[in-house]
Amino acid sequence: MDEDEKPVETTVVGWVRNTLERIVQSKKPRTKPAFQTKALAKRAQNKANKKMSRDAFPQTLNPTWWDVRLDGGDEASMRELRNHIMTIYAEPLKAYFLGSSFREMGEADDIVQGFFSDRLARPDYLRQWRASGKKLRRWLMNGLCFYLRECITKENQRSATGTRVLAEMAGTDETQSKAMDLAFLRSVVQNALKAAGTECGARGLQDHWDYFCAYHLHGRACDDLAAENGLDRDRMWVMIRTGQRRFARAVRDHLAEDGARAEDIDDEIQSLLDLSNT
Amino acid sequence: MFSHQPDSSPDPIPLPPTGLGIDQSMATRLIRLGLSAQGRPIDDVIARLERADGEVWFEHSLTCEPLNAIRTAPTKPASLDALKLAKESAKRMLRSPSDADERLRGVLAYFVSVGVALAQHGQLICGRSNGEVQSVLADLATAVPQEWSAIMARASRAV
Repeated sequence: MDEDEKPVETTVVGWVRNTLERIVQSKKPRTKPAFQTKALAKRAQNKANKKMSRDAFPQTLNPTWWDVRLDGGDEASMRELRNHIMTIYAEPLKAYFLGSSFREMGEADDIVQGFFSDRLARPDYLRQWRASGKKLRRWLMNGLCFYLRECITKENQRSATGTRVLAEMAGTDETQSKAMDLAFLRSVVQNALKAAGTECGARGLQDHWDYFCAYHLHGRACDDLAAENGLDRDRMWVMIRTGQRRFARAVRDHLAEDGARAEDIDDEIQSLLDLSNT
Repeated sequence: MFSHQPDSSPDPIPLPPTGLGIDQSMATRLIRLGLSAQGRPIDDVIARLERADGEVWFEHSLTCEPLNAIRTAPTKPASLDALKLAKESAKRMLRSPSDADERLRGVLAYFVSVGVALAQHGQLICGRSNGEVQSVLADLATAVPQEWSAIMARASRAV
């Protein structure tokens, strides 16, 4: 018999054996390739380094910035929190209100101030936000909607005839959160400029800050600034960069205060950028 | 106050108030500066350098391995070999730092070696991307004493 012409049984048995072996083989734990082992070791090392880094320089703002003040609970801490919220979120909330179907209810300034007075006076309002895991701007946006509905209910109780119209007004348009997010972006940038400028001034880096503003806000060229101020170009660039770094940190701090985790801040910035490009 | 009549079609989104002092396009441009501006190992080093005793810490780092071999670089150019050795030594240090401070000194030594090699020899002696090295050295330049700052700034431009 020719070697190629094996009996059918032998061929079938061979096929079954080979198939079973392949199945058993695939169940066996495979040794990880060297590059994979190396990648895992590197990941573990990065994790350890990150932890060491966190231990050395704990995050100062998220979540500690809020928690320290909320846990303190004294009037000065609470006032600081309220001021922070009113400074950062007043304009975004006004933008939201003006874009919503509630906008006929009154002046945006009055409505937002009324909302702040009502909600921020509640001792647990911010603790409830912390427990919710939501971004602060979303929490406040929802809070504003509830507040406005409460206003409507009160108005209905005063005037029985208004019920139908007010119920229709209470329908909110979720797309208005875009207007709020764009206003939030501007508010974050504006307040980061203030914070970084103040920090530079306090650290004796006012000229660094002025050059940052001249370069990034007023579009002056680095070479021109260097020539006008008798500095070499490298030095001018370092000074601009000093202001830039403090501004960048302030931006990230504000986003952390809004509830973004440190590792998500780039994504948060990117999503705000995407929003402003649509 | 409550004279609103429900709309049959949605109104366009009103422009947000402009009382913030900067317009949307500038805000959008500026917020980009916040991207990836923190969270790198060098940011921990910069935070250390910005503490009250930062300059003392930097001077102390120059007296320790591996930066001690290139500590005179601002006044007397370091050899490329010495810089590569210092960089490799920093890498070894970073593989198993004994504490957070040693890790910071390792990161500092690594980038100072890379920066001096770029500024004084025009050579990039690490495998990191040009963009990353440029950004790290520009930021490091803002935190180290001025004679080193000048080298790091020159290096940042040389990438």
